[in-house]
Amino acid sequence: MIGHCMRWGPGGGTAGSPRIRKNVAATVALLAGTAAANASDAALALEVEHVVTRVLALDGDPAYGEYLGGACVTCHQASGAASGIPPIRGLPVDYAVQAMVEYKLGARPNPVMQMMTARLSDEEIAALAVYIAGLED
Amino acid sequence: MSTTRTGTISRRSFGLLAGAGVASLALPTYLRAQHKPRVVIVGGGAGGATAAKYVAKDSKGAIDVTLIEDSDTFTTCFFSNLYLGGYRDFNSITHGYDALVSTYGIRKVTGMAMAVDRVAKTVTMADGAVVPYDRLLLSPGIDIIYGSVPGYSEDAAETAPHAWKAGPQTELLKARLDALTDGQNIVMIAPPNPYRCPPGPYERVSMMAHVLKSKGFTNSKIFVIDPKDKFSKQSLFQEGWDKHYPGMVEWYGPDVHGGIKSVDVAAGTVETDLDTFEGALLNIIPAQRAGAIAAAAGVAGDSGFCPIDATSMRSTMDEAIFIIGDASMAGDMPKSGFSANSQAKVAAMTMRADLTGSKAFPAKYSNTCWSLIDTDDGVKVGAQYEPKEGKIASVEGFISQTGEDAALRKATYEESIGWYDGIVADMFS
Repeated sequence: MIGHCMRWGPGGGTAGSPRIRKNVAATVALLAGTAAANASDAALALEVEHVVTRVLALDGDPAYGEYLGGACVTCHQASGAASGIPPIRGLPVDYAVQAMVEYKLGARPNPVMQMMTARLSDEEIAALAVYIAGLED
Repeated sequence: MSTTRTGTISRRSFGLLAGAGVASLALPTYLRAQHKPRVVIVGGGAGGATAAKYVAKDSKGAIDVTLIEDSDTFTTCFFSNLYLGGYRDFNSITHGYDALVSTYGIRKVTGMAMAVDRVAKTVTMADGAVVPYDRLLLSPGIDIIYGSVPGYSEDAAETAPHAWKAGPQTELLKARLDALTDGQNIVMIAPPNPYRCPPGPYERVSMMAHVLKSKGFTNSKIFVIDPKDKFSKQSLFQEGWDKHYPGMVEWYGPDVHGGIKSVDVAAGTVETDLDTFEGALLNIIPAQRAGAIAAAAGVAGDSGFCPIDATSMRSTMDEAIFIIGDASMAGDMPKSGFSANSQAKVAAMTMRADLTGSKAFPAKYSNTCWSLIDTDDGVKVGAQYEPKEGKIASVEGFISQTGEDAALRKATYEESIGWYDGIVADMFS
């Protein structure tokens, strides 16, 4: 099953990917408090913004979102009830997209969420955001 | 199409499908007999309950769903260790089927499915009732292979519980644990691969140790006799045992114990090549295979578990049958409630597509296993999976690390509580 241990530091994610290298660099630099830290931080923020803009331009497929959302509701209850895991029901589309992109690019920490979003395409993020927003209906 | 009752579809007769004149898998619904397409699910646990709900919910009444389950309630094996440890009560891990029936119109048939006629496409119950299907989903969990531990038997489980199927066995184990006095030992025989819930035995060791420690015991030991040379999250458990229960837990791998020779549950002994271990409580977890209905249906392989198509959870031996959860051979996915729930959704989607022409998306699966080592000290391992070259393969994952701080371990435990509430709502509400 898990043939290899994923070593996750403050950045999380799959060892060896550009994202984790960038993450670790950003985090280490952040801790060191150098000017370079601000530059990598800013670069990551810009990348997040770029991807979010790209995703928001798409029309999310609600049926695909509902299928993908099956993987979310085991933790984030569809009813909106919450106990130790934040509710996502009815989150606005742009907020949900922002959160998912930040997890995907490693700008937001949490290894479960980084794993869940790591392989999501732009279309999948768009579809999920539409589904999540629609849960309140 | 001709199929033998227990064998595979022959290639030659499969080719005659179109002209055979018998009920065809490929005919669109409007050419079939005048009834709604029928999905029958055997097993109302983590996999079966999820599959029943998702087929009924997503087909919006277009599919007739029957859930065959012998019990009126389901006690989750996941979190049953927390009940053993005193963190949850039994009712909080036991759930009913009322919502599935009333909200989704699922027909619950309470009884034991005994046989499957794959030609007639029917399930026969212990009371003789016959339940016809267009698609059959088996989620029967595991059966315990008592004889895999010399000297163990189904009767012996009343004295030395396995508690590897949650319910009365779990309550029995809890009662035996709570009755121990200081100086009395526990001997666990851990199971060989493949088995339900890889970290489960070691979370159980942790929970039993927690109970003994919280009663102030200083002279009791927990011996773990393992047929495996390593186990899931091993470094995390060993770090936790050293930290929270120093000197209490002794784990013996096969290189050290040299093989389990026999158990004597009346005497409370486990004899190995190395030594004979004695305990007032024996927790014996034998080897496992798919629940009996799988072999009865002819869809179990030589391993005792059921081969499936990685893109759909469809049996490789019968196109009208799906197998999910612990009974299936799901590649890299561990046998867990989370996996069963994940696989159920792919199978449900595929059955709906078969029967109503609805859209089927590419299969994606996931699993996360949380384990509690002591109060507020939780760890986890998880992964995403996708079909790759005919197998369900891990594509992304994470695992807790040794040396994590207390705040993170506490957050991990609290996350598991949120997950438990979420997944039981997903399955039973």
